[in-house]
Amino acid sequence: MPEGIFCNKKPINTEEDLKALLSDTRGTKYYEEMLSLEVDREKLWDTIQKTCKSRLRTWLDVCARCGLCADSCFLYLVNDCKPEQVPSYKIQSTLGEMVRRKGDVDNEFMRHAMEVAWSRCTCCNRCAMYCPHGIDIGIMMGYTRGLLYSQGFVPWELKIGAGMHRVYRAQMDVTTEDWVETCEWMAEEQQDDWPGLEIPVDKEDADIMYTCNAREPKHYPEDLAEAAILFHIAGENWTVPSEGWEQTSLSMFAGDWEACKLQVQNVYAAIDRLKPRRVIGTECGHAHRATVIEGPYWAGRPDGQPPAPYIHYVQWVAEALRTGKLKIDPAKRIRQPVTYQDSCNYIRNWGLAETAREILSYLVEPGYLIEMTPNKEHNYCCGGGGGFNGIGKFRPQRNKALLTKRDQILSTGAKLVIAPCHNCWDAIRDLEEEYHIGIDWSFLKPLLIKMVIIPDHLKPQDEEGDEA
Amino acid sequence: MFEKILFATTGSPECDSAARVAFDMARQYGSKLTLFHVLGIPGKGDSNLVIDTRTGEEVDADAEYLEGVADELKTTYAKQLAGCASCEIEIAVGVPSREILRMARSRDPDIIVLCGPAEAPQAGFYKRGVVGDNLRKVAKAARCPVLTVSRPSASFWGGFSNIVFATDFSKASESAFQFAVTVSKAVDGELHLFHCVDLNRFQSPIALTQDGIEARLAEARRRLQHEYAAKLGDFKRFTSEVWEGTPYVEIVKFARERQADLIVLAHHARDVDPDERPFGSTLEQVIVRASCPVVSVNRPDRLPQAAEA
Amino acid sequence: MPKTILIVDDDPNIREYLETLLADNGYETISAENGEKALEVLAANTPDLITLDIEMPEKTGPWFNRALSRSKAHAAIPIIVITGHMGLKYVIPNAVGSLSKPFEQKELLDLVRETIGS
Repeated sequence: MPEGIFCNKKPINTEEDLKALLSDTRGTKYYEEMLSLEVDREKLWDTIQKTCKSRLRTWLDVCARCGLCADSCFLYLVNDCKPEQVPSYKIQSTLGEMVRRKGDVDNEFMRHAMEVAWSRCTCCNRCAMYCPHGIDIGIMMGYTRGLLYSQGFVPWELKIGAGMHRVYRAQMDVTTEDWVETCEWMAEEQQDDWPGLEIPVDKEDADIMYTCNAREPKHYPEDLAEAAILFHIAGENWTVPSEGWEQTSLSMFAGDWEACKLQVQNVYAAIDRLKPRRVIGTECGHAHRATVIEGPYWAGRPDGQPPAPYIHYVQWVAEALRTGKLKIDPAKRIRQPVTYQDSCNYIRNWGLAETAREILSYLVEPGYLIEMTPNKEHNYCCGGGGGFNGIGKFRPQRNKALLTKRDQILSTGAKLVIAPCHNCWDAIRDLEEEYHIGIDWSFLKPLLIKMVIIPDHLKPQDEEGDEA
Repeated sequence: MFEKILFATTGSPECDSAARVAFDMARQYGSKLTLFHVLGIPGKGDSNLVIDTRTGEEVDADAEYLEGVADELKTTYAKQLAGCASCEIEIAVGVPSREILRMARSRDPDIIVLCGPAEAPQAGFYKRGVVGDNLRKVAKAARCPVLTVSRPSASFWGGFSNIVFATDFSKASESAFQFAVTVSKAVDGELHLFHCVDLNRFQSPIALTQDGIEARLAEARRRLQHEYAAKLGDFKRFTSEVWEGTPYVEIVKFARERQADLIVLAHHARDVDPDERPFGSTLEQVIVRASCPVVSVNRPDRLPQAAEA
Repeated sequence: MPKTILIVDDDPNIREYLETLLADNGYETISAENGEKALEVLAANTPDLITLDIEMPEKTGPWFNRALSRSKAHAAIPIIVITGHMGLKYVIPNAVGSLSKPFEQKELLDLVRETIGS
C-alpha cells in the first residue's frame, strides 16, 4: 500500500514530522501524493460499523429528500442555489454513499468527499433547525470528516493543526515555558496602567480558571492582558493553569478524534489539578464547542460534563455586568450603528443568544443596535467556520462564503460588528480586506475596557504635569 | 554608552533615515546591533501564510522565504553592515509592535531605533497604522528608551552633541531628563532644557493677558531651574528656555533654532486614544516634524550608565 | 574684486566641476572636502557664499552649519545646499536655496547671481 511521505494515514505525532509537513509549502507535494493515496476499504467499513450508530443511521435513512434544508444553508444560497449544495445531497453523496457501499469507495471518491466536507459545509448546524426530522447534517459532516481523516484525506493545514494539538496540546507551537513567560510578560507590561495586576499561574481552589486560544499568547498577547485587566477590575479570584490552558481544537475541525480526546483531557487534568469553582473560556466559539460541549464525550466522562462548571466568556461578562462587578460608564456607551455576530457554536449550539443581548443592553446606547437578518440562533455562519478560514486550497470557496455575512452586515448599515469569537473575528477581518465595506469589528474585551468605570483603588497614582 | 541597539526596520526606503542613524550610532559607540524585521502578520490557520506588512499580500513564510528575506535585508543594508563590527539579523512573524517588544524582552537593548510614521495615515487593516501603531505601542511598553527617526533631514547630523530636553514636568519627564543628562555628559555636548507653556489649555488665549502669560513663563522658568538645572552639578554647558504656544510646534522650532541633533521627551504612560487625539500626541507630532532624531523615555529602568569621565 | 565661493563637498568630481563652472563665470573658489577642513579654510578666509553638501563622512553638512552659526564673523555667509538626496530641501534652515544633483548649470548660476551678484 503506497503511502506518501507527506500524505498518509499516519497522524502527526512528533515535532519533526510537524516541521516536515509545514515545510511543504501550501501542501503542494501533500496534495500531489493524495492523488495516489489508497483507501483502506476494510478499515473504513470496520470503523463505520463500529461508530456510525443508530442516530446517524436513522438520519441517513429517514431523510425524505424534502429539500427544506436547501434554503437553510448559507452555502447553498450564496452558491446560486446549485443542487450540489443542498445539505441533504451533500451528506447523502458522501457519508450516505460510504455506508451504502459498505466502505467500498476509491481515491477519487474520497478526495471529492474531502472537498464537500471541508468546503461545502462549515458544520454550523443551521440545517438541523429547519429539517422536519431534526436531521443535523453538520454533525454528520463532522463525523464524515473523522472518517476521511482516518484515511488520510484531510486538508493540509488541518493535518498540521491536529498535529499541533498532538505535539503541543495547543493549536500553535506554544510550549508551557512560552505560555508562562507570556503571562509574566503581560502582567509586567500592564503595571503602569494597572498597578498590582497579576496573572496568577496554577493557583489552587480559585473561583475561576481561565483558558484561552493559543494564538493569543503567540501573536496577540494583549488579549490575555485584557482578560486579566477585566478580572482585576471585577475583583475576581482567578488563575490560569501552566498546562491545559489551551481550549481550542483544530483537531475537531480535522476530524482527528484521538487528538480531540488528548487535547480536552489536558484541560480536564488542569481542572482536576487546580480545582477551581468554575472555568471560563475566552471569546472563541469552537473552543467552547470542543471543550465544553463535545469534549466530555470524547473523554468518556459519564455525566457528559467537564470536571467543573465551564462557561463561555459572554456568560461571565453578562454576569459581571448584571451583578455590577463591571460597571459601564453611560457616557461611553456605543453610539454608532453596531451589529452583533451570532457565532454558531455558542449561540445556536449553546443557546446564549439572549445572554449576548443582555450584554449589548449595557454596552450600546438604545437605538444603535441593529440586528442582522436573520439573527440569534437563526443567524448565518460567518463564512469561515469549521476550519474554512484556514484552508488555502478552499480559499476561493471561503471568500465566496464571506459574501453572505458581508451582505448581512451591509443591510444593517452598521459600522461596527461585535464578534466575540476568534473564527468570526478572522472571517470579518478577511471580508473587510477582501470587499472593503468600511467596517470595524471587535471582541468584547477591548470594548469593555474602554467603557468600564475603573474603581478608584485600582487607578494608578496620578502624575503631575500636563497631558502631552 | 549604547552597548546594544535594536533597530526595527521594514527594510524599505522609508526606513533609510532610521537606518542611517542606527548604523551611525553602532559605529560611534561600538554597539552590537540587532537588525530586526517583522515579516508579516499571520494570516489564517496553521499554514505559513502571512500578510506581508509592506505589500499587504499573502506570502508563504516557509524557511526558504525567510532566508530570501534575510538575504534581501543583507543586500539592502550591505554598505552599512560592512561597516558594522557586530551585527545580527533577526526576522519574525507577527504583529510588528508586539514582536519588537518580544525581541526587546529577549535581547534587552539599551535603545530601540524605529522608523517614524509618515505624515499621512495609511489605509487597510494590515497597512493601517503599522508604523504609527508601532510607535505608540513600542514607546509605551518598552523598558528602554526608544529613538525614532522620521524625516530624511533628521538623519544627517552624524552624531549627538546638541541635545534638547523638553519637559512637561511630569514624573515620566524625570527619566527622560536622566537620559538627556547622561548622553550630554557622555558626548561632551550641550544640553538645552525647554518647556512650553501650552496656551491651548486656557479657555481662550486672548482672555489670558500678556501679563498672565509672562507670569506663567516665569513660573515655568523657576520650575526648570529648581527641578532640573539645579540637579546638573558640575555640568555647566546647558541653557534653559520657556516659550509659550502649542507644545509640539514650539519644541520643533526651539530644536531648529538651537540646531539640535537630538530631542528627548517623556512618553506618557497613559494611552492616547486615537479617537480623542486624531493628530497624535505631542511626541508623535514632534517625531513627524523634527529635523533630528527624537528619543522617548518612559521609565527609569533601562537608562544608559554614564561612563566614568 | 571677484566674489569668492567656498565649495564644501566630499566628492572630488563635484568639487572639480563646481570649481570650473564658477571660475568660468567670474568667481573665485576655494574647496574643502569635509566640514572640518571647511572650518580650517574659514579661519583664514571669508568667502561671500558657501555651497554645502549634506552627506559627508564624520562631519556632515548640518554639523558644519551649526559650527558656522557660532562664529559671528561667518554666521551671515549665505549658504546654497547642493545634495544628492531627495527630501533634504530644508535640512539647513537658514539656506538661501537648495539644489539636488544633478542640477542645471543655469539653476546654480542664477541662484548665485541672485544672492551675491556676479
